[in-house]
Amino acid sequence: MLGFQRREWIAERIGRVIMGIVVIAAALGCLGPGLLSHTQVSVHGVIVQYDRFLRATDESELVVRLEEQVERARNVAFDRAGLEHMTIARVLPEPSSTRSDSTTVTYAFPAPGSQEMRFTIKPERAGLFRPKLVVESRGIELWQLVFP
Amino acid sequence: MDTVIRSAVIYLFLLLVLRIAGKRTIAHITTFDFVLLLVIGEATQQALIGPDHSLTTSAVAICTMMFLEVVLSALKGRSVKFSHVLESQPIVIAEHGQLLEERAHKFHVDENDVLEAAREQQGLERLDQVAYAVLERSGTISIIPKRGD
Repeated sequence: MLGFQRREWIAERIGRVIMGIVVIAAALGCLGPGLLSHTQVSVHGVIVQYDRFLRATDESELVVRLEEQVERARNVAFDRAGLEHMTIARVLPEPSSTRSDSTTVTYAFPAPGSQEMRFTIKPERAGLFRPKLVVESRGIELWQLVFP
Repeated sequence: MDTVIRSAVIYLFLLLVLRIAGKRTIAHITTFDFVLLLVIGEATQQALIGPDHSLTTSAVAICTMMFLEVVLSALKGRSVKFSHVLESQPIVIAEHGQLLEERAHKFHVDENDVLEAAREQQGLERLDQVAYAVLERSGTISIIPKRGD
């Protein structure tokens, strides 16, 4: 009888520790947008800021920033495979055109314009994904873990 | 992060509001109180998770509130003062067959409430059969009958 009670106390204690870990992880941004989730990748003058950890029904912002002023039109191309798990809900500034082929979806932004392009993305399912994008012929690979 | 903060704020706010409302408020639920609780639950749900209906958000909100509950109950176990602040303390509202009017009035309890508890718990008929009536922290009334009754 007491043996069962002892095991129950141990299980309760372990459960409480796990609960505490979940709360701390969520507060730090390991289970969705937050401090540890927000990250940036920099490749030859192109900076991409995004959230590593997302939730399946929540929107998140992916910001593409060019370090130098570009006077010509700029292109941001998303790998089509990467777009299978998410939709792009909004784009700021408004792209001048959107092209789509079998492998990529390309957003063209007019010149002269802002050095910063914001894409509001909405994950469609949970899982680990590696979306790829090409900005000004520079390939950037991201990784995102989407929680259900 | 957002979910944890929202859950903690809602938890502490509900704790404060229910504490201010007094212990008899929830102990005796009328039909209106029941509807009010449902409305509070609905409003709380909106504030807790907003438009994000993901499984993770719900799990984080539940874990945050349960974790706060565990932490506060551990603190209550260690400090009697803290326990009184959070949950009040039992108080005698009738002794030796006499209702302590001032206390009873402050806690919105009348003679009928004491008699109802006396009938339900001890099968007593009159207030003079009650040695003590204690308003517990939960808002219920405990009856200690006079010896020999």
